Amino acid sequence: MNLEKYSYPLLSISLAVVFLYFGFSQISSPDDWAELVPDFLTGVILTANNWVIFNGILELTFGIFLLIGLYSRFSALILGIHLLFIAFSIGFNPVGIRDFGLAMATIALFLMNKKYGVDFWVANGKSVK
Amino acid sequence: MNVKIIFAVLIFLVVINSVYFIRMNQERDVVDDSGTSGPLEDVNVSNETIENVGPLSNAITTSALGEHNSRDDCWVSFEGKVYDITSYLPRHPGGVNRILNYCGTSSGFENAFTGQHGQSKVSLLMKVGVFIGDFDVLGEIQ
Repeated sequence: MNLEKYSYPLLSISLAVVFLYFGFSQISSPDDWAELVPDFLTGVILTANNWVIFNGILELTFGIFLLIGLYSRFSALILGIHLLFIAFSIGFNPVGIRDFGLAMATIALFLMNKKYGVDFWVANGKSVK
Repeated sequence: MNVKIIFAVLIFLVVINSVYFIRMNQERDVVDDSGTSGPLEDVNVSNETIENVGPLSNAITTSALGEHNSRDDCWVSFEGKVYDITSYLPRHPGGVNRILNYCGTSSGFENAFTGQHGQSKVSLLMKVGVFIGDFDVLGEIQ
């Protein structure tokens, strides 16, 4: 039984769920996340809370893209670089290491260069089964 | 290609609208809550009810502060004010243990907090912490 065809959607959907969860959490409770906004961003253009909300919008949008396979390669690149930046700003601690692993997995999605969901449907002109 | 762009724009608009409604509902809830009960009446803090807490009527001594030093009951003192941050502990992005050692302390917490965050997160502390009262600095010196 060839299970390889499930690998890309499995990884993509799993990571999308992660970004959607944290994106929604940032939108609904920005106070809880404001502490993680780097000091050099606090008060620049946006307040810490608004940076969190902006970040949540970004994660929700690209998370949905990743979930349904719309511009999934581009979305994976943006989310991966974004999470890598967060991981380095958090530093060498359990949370930072976890984010680094998730960032690398997301960048791996970008490197795979496969299509599924909407991308596959548009490219092949038929629905995905 | 056009189908994908339309999809992308639609999703972005849905997200923006959802965020707008979530934020508006939360701000409305805050206004409703502030209209129904006064901030200084019947404040339920860490399994004990303090009635009519006034900022000058219940200065917290060092020993009283030190009793609230656990994961389930965490008070800290910052710049002469005592806050209950128990409910925030599990939500601390850096983990519970980064704060737990400083529960029930004044200068210990203050040094760790400013050492880690400077002054950038003071407003957050005051927002998530429940104000208990003034810290009895004179009691600490004596």
